[in-house]
Amino acid sequence: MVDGTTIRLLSSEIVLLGVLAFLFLAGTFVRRAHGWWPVFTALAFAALLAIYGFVDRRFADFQISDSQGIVLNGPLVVDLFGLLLRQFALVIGLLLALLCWRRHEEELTSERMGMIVALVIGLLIVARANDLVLMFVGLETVSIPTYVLMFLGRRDRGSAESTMKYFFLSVFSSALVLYGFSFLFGLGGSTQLVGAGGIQEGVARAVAGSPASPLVPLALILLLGGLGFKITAVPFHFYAPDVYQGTTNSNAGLLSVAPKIAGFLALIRVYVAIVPERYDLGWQLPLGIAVLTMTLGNVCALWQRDLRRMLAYSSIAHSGYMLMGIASTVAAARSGGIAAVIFYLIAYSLTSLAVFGAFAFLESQDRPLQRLEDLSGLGKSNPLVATAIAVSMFSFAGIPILAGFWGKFGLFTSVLQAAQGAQGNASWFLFLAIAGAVNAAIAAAYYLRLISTMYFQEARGNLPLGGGLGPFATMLASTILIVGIGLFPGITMQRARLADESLPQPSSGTRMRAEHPPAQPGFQDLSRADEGSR
Amino acid sequence: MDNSQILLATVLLPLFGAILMGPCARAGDQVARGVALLVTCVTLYFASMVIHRFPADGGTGQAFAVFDYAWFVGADVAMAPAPRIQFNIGLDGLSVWLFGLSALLMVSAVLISWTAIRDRVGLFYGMLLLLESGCLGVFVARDILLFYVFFEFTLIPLFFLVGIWGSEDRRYAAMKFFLFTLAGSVLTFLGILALVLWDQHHSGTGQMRFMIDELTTGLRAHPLPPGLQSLVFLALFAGFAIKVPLFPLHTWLPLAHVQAPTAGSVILAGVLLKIGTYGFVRFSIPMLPDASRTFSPWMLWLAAIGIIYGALVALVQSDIKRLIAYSSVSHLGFCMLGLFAFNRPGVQGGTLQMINHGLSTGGLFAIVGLIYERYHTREIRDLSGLARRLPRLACCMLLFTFSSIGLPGLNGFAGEFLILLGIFQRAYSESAFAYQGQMLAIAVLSVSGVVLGAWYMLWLVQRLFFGPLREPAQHEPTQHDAAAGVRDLSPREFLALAPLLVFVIWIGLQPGFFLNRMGPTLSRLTDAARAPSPVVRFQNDPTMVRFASGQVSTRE
Repeated sequence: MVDGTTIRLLSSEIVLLGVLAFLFLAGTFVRRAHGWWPVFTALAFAALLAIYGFVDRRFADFQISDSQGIVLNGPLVVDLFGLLLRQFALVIGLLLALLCWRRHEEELTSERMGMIVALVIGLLIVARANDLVLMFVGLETVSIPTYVLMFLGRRDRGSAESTMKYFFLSVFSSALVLYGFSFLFGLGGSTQLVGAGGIQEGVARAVAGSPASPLVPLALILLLGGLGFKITAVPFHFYAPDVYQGTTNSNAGLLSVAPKIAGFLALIRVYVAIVPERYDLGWQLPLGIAVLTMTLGNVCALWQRDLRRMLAYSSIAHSGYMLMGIASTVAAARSGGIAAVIFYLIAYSLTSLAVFGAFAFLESQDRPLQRLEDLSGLGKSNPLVATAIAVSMFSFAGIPILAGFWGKFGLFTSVLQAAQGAQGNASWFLFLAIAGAVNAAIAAAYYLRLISTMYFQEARGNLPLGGGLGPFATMLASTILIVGIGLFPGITMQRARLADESLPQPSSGTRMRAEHPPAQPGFQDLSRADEGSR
Repeated sequence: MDNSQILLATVLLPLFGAILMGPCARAGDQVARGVALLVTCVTLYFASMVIHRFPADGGTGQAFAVFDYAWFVGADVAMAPAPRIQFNIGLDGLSVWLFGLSALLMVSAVLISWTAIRDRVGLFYGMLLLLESGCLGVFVARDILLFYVFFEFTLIPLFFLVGIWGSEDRRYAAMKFFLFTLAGSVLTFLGILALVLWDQHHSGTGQMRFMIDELTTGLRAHPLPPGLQSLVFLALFAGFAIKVPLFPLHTWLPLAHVQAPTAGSVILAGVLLKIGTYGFVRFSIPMLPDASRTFSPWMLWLAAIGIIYGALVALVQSDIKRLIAYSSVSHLGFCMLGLFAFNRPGVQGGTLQMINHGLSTGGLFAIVGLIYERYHTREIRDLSGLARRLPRLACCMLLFTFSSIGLPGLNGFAGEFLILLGIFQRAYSESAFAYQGQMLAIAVLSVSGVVLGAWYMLWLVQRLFFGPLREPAQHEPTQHDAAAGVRDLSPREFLALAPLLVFVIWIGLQPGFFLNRMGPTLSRLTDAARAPSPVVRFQNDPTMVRFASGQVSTRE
């Protein structure tokens, strides 16, 4: 039902749609001032973020708030989780607009920026969808601009191959997601996920019934399969190394961030919401996939000499870490797993953008940055960029006192909490924690190799530094954020925890969370979120 | 300024110094060196001010000069209480001398790198100062997560120090050092989290507490079940034993030492290895007393094997630096031996020996660096009779050697004597009958380590400094002394070594001054593990069990 409230809830999407239309239309007429489009787009994101963050965050989401703090307005759910992730999506949009600003490319800049705006609209929708159809629309709104972005202005064979590969596999994964959704629809008799008569209740009914419905495992597997493509989870990871290697550094940065955020948001909104607690398969699947994903990602990354291929495997491994949080939250809702995943997602995305921003800054159109050896001697020739890359690598490796460390702190804590909370399954989660720790150590090997190449090897000729201001700004801003979050993790951590708490309650009633009803998150929680910055 | 502010300034000053190195490097190498020296000296002054005010009898063993800042304290949400991580620092008897040692050695490290480092000087001193901040922070942290943050943070500067300014194989050495330590410490991290979560779920308050004191008290009140306790002990062991390094996890150490620049070796041997032993005394023993007792025979065996193995391998080395690196393995074995004897002489000796080893081995590495600067070789067979050429250097070397082998009157003697006293006491009167045999074996074996230590060190001194003069023929004369050949110790180099020598002699002559300040804290930390477990002792006699436990409780 579309009424005034829905329009108001969708106001940021509508504003961005206006920006998108302006970019496309004006872009066809104004062909000269191509350098201004990224600035304009970035400013649009910044303005929206300011409205969200300071002026009118109440208007944006919390004007309408019932006693539960959760508003189900048809297909939309309004909660702190959505608010936080929507703000973050705008930050990502801002950084991506800067990252994809190519200094020497005269054509198609406005189109590229428009695609980034479209992609952010998709993220905004996914962050708040409570409906299968809307969720799917949101996911596709993230995917389709990605295909276009990968192909825009690129004519070479490697790029074409990687784009086609990504396109076909992504379409295939969308089909899997849809297939899973159709089973969910069958189970719930509705497209609504949480709420009265929603899929959550249907699944709980099907699991409780005897004999238990065989459709539930099937739907969960299809769902994890389809979303597994987006988050590059094993065994659906195999496209990532080829695609990253074939495309440009800025596109690889985009690929490592946008689909992953969308995938994890969808996992939290759909998978975590509908799996009833004490349904063992519900946590066994992500647990197994997590162990496989991080181990395979890290071990394969050890052998890579190609920078983007290595980072592709690294991003696979990071998905594995985040799946640890999903597994522990499904097993024990009070483990704080979602908060940890949110924090890790933020830390990971910023770190990824810092690295790819630095790479995009270092290369130029005719001299792409490809091999690990290209970076040798960077510590001497360009200390600032080398520092940024080193900080990112240490953050990826989870070394204090950077954002990545607190991400791992949250994840390991949630896994151990699950080990305490999930009676009888403690040994599985202990195993998961140890696997995660061992992986963190393995991963450090290739991150350190990159650092040691930059600092301990002599330069082999200068890098062109042709990326221009945009990637440089992305790198700088992301690095500052990584260090800032690392020094003062409380602000982000507290918001992530509130977001976790605000997620819709499972209706099965057996979840541990139900024993401690939330104390009405709403306005007062926003002030508490500010207290968290202390 | 009151004590806590001085303490905070001591920890943060090197950090600011490291940031200052950026502009200083642009102003010139000499400026960077000067500023680095100034920063380390002021840090040392602050540190000695706090230590000077530390109660002479060790007070009650509680922390002194506590500074507290709520670093990361979120409001509770209904779902789960927020973690409360505090930037809480303070000194107690265990950390006070290690803290001072770190500040002292750093001045020496700056001085001996003066002419040895000519490439990227600003960055070098920046890393050194970062390392100082990390080292000081590790020892003063009173929050378990803050400790871990500093613990891991020390890896980064040393990684760069070894990797950029090391010898030929530096890249491999830096990677191996970092990965070995990290692999252990991530498991330690899991262990720490497991402790905190256990405390959270069983303390009744539901708070996630990270303060070491609260955690220790909490874990005493509601200890982990034996199985889990052993598991957590092993997790903590992984990180700390690699850091110590305990045999057979020591393989990274000789490599890192040989490849590191002199200052890196001095700090690595002098301070960083102590973090491992410190971790055992600070966390493993007080928080997991039962598991510590269960594992103590294993730990003692590993320590004894490390003592003998390190000494034997040191005997056959042809490279001076490698020899001293293996001697570190042997000496750290002594520290572990004392700590896991659990009785007062043992623990006090073990802690004192940490300081002693830092002074003597730090000094020895510095001297090796000075020899290398002069002759560009570390091969023992290339050098002989240096005492004629470098009498003052030889004198310092001899003093450090005597300190290292435990000559009475110097610091090594006090430490080793107490450790051996402790382990024999453990063997005779504090072990279950079944264990007495192997405890005695361990004690006797470790005494032979003292003999072996004297052998390889004195043999080294004899080969290097006595006998006919032999120098590498083609050594390049340094710029100062084209005519006179190799110069003896310069005033700057002497100033780098002298403070260490002062303490070598001071601790040797007046060990009580140092031990008194440690005593109360150490008893507090290790007494829980010491209380002889009646279950082990009188397994077959229930009345004896009751009697023994009653006796223990009245005595406490």
